[in-house]
Amino acid sequence: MLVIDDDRDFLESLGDMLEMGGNYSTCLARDAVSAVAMAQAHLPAIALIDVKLGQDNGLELLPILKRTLPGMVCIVMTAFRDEKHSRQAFESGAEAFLHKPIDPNRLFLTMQDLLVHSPDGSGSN
Amino acid sequence: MNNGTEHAARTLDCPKCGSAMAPLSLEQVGFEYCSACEGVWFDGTRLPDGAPLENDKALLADVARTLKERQGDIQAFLDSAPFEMGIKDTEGRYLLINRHTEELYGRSNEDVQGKLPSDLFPAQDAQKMIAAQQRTLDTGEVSSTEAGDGEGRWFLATYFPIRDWQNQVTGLGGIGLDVTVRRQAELKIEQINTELEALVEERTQELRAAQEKLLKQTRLAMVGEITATVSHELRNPMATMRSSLFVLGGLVERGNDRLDRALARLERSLQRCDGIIDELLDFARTKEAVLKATMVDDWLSGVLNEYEGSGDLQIDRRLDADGACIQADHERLRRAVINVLENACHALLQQTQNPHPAPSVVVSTGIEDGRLFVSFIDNGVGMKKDVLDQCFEPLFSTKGFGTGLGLPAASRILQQHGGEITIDSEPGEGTTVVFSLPLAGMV
Repeated sequence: MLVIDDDRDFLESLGDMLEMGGNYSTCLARDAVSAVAMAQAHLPAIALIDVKLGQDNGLELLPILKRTLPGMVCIVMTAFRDEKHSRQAFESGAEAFLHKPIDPNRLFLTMQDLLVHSPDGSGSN
Repeated sequence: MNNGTEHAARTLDCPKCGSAMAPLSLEQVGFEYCSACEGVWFDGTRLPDGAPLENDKALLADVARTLKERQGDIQAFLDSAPFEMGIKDTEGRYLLINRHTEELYGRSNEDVQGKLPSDLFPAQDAQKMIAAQQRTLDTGEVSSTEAGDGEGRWFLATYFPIRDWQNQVTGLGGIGLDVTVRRQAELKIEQINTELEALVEERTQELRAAQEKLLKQTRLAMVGEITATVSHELRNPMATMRSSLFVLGGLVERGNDRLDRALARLERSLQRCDGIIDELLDFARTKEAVLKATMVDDWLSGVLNEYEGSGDLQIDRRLDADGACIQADHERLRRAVINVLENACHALLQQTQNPHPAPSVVVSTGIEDGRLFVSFIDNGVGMKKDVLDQCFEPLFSTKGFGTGLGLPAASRILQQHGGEITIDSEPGEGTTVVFSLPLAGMV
């Protein structure tokens, strides 16, 4: 799966958590360009996308990723609490929206649920 | 003008011997003849002794006639004047008033002769007239004052000295010009000015209040922006801590009680930090609420499900507003509900009654007088009156931890919805919180 966040500490800790807690294989990107390149290279089943990506915007990146890999499940995460972010995320094609700090159990349940119901029913990647 | 005292009538007795005098013939023009002492008197003055000869009599008659004519001329002059005129003695008593004055006040010369201003005018106005008269008598110069007659008429009284042939002041002349119209205009202007000043003061107060409100809003908006930014920046490292905590929990050997407790404490502390940030955001939020039509019971059920799922609290639901629709900002109203439920949970934990009642939180909805009511009733520890009185004050808290912003934020959120929050509590009995919201309609 692809994790995109400009905060390196969070990115690494989330990667470790996903690999340890769910045996997910992760690739980590800190900006939009790297994210698109990794999506094309690794074909992840799930993308976890932060809204605020330094100079980039995760909500603008989301449709690009969807066009790159139409079957990829996208989960948007943010530390903001404005409802507009979740609305925009779903309008941009996100399958789920989570608030930081993310509850690990909730994240795993959400991912499992989405993968079970995804069109190709793909497992971890 | 008031009634005054009568002026003493001039005696016809001889000032020298006291005998009764007879008016001289010759048209009785003011000469009297005392046959006892053979004196001729004119206006209190005795002419040289000796019985008047016929020629003298004729001369005197001419003089008297001339004087009379002059007196008549003076009276005619005074009576023809289109304003008040009068003559007073050196004590300020009226000797003579002109016809205009007589007609204006409905009083004759005889009525006012010998009277003082204080006999005829209101005390305050008479005082001003007497002072002006005295200035003229003291200095020999013209003086003026404005006075009223107590019946709405105002006049400018001007006094000047009357001097005899030796330049001695023997009396006062007075002229009164009617200034009622001007005075009324001045009073009107004064009244308008007073009203204008009051209006300006009122507008100034409104402007000041609006300015203060704007400043407050600006400050709140700034606080809101800062809080949003700081919250976001805090939540990112907290997210790192949480995921790192998960990784730590997976890496270390479990079964060590102390380690497990430490990890659980860290997890709880992170959740508490998250809750504090939520409360700060709720309170500092200044943007307009985004209202949308909401079926209350359905929406509230979802919020209660979510809350029950995050903890151990079981909520007794009595939702009885089927079909009721309100305009609500879901996220904000959800925060208000969560804040009240959090307080209820805390109150249940603090309950020390013996026997301990089964913890209970009842959430009910209902409609009354076109408004929707949502009640939260717990049987927790309750609040004393002094605590209850302060529970909506920001930063007031009875919890061991907490920002004291939960209820103030809930109150603000209800206000943003055109509603209000009320709270009632009894120590040891529990607390009832009620949201009252305008009903948008029934579906």
